[in-house]
Amino acid sequence: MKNLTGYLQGLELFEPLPEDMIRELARKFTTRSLEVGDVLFRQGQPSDALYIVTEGLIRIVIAGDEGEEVVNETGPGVALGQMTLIDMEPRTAGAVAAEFTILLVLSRDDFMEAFNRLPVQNQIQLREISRDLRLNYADILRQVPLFHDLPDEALKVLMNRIGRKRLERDEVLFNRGDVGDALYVIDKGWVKVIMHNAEGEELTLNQLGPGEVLGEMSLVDEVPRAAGVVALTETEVLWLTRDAFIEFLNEYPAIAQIMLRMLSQRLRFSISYIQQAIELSRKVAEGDYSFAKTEIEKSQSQIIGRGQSDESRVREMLAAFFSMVEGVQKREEELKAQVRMLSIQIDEVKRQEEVESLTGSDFFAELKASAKRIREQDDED
Amino acid sequence: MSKTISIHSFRGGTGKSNTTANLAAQVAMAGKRVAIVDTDIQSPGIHVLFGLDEKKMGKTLNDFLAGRCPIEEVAFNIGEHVGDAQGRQALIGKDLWLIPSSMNSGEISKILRDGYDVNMMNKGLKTLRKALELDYLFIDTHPGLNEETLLSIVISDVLIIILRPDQQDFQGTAVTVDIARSLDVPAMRLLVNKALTRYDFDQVRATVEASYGVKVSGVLPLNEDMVDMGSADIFSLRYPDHPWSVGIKGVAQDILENL
Ligand SMILES: Nc1ncnc2c1ncn2[C@@H]1O[C@H](COP(=O)(O)OP(=O)(O)O)[C@@H](O)[C@H]1O
Ligand SMILES: [Mg+2]
Repeated sequence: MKNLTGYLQGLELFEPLPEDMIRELARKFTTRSLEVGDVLFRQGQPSDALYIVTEGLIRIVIAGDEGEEVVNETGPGVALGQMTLIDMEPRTAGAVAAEFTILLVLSRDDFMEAFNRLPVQNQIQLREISRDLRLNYADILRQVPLFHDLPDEALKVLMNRIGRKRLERDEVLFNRGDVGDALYVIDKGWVKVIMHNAEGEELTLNQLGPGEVLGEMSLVDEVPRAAGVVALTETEVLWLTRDAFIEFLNEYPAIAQIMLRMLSQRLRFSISYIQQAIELSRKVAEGDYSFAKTEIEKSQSQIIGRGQSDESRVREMLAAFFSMVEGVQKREEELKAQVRMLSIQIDEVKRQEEVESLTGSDFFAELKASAKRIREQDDED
Repeated sequence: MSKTISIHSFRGGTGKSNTTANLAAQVAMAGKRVAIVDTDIQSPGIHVLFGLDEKKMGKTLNDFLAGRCPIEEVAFNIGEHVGDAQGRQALIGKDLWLIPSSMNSGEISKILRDGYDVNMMNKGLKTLRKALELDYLFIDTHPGLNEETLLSIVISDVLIIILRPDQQDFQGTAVTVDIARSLDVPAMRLLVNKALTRYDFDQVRATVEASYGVKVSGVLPLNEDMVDMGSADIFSLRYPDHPWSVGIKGVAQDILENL
């Protein structure tokens, strides 16, 4: 790590510390290396150090029914243990090296020694940050519609399964077609959702920022990613793997029931929206556009302040539909406004001249004379 | 007693051939015995709508006019040869004949150069009505007011003049109406074709009737689907519910009931 002081300054827990104290703490860091399979800490142990991964890969594991479950992987640039360092709460998950890994380690003793030298005010501030850090996960999880109605207890447990991932600018989170096996919630920064057209050019479908959820439904069923996601800025995402989530449901069947209820509610909701859309399409077919304006206003006010849940997506789709209807109505009205009234102008002088030139010929006189005879002849048949 | 109906327009491209073919087909669908004569010798076209080409059509009106065969031999029985177009399948077994004009450029220029005996044409049509026991004889004419057209007006019981809602057609239609009146045509109708849908059709009908003092038998819309179909079939049989088809059926009804 080139500039440890700078890095530490970016960590929430170090925010209230004066710069010289951070410098001092930076010097207290020691280096530790792990071979593949080495345990960094175990689930349930009190938190006694802060780790920063500088190289390699750490697996976050939790005890499951059949041994340990990997719930997350953490690479260079991620700090482990910020949340529980001050309160010394038990580690919510274990950590094992998945590769040869180098870490910077700051012992809790060193940290607390510095902490104790802080003015009481700053100590309180730091404790609040520490608590916020833990709550923050819960808040972010609440953004996920699927988790919206989970009891606090369940969220707290789920928090243990959540990992954090840092993306550099332009780093790919996942590609279109990748197996969708994890949920992501953007904590900091911005990403773009992209696809490629037939010419291979990149099309940005959407930009997503803090609080937005990616791939929620991949927790429930594994489908290939419909689009790719790339970091626009330095980005931090929380992530939860499908395996970890299923494990969590196995442990808490009651929660599975709650979620089942929620999913079926949402299904019903979606169906009612589709029915509504069909009903409205029928109205359009009959030329009744009166609903479009009020519905647009209604759906707009509903969209504001909601996450990217299926419901809001359906509403957005409907909103697009309504504004299409408005467009159709407008165009039709414009056309109606310009309904042309036919007016016929005949140049009577010219008309007479032309008739006279035709009727004046010998042929015409002959024809006229014989017309009666020709027709009468016909009628004899 | 058979009726002769001439379909005419002052300018070309108004939809005469399509209208004639569809009207004749609809009247034949009503169980009537119907023949169509293509007297547009200079620029024949109606045979295409019935799937005929130079090879299939056999003897033509030109052969008859040149004295090479009797007119009955020229009549092509469409009810027995509907071809494979989807709409025309409805005509199987119907009493519908077409007397086509030659597509051969030599034949066409010969008639243009020498003209033909209008009396012979007249006699031929008379023979045809008798031989085929026709209820209706439709004549698809050459646009304008040349001698042949004037003759077909004279021998008609009904003259249907097609016009587009377009200033250029209005003037020529006025002259045609006057000429037809002067020749004492027993019945006359106007038919507006290719009307833009942004017109109010009722207003179009009222205005045209008021301007010419002639009953308007129908106002038919500009029909992109017909352009799409590209003269391959009888439109009103292929798309019976299309507004254009509904309009043409109204005209056929007018013919069957009032003329
Ligand atoms: N109502 C209509 N809308 C659009 N195109 C039409 C309509 N009626 C005829 N047409 C097209 O106009 C062209 C001329 O039609 P046609 O029946 O051959 O007219 P004419 O015999 O008067 O020359 C054809 O391409 C035909 O498909
Ligand atoms: Mg024609």
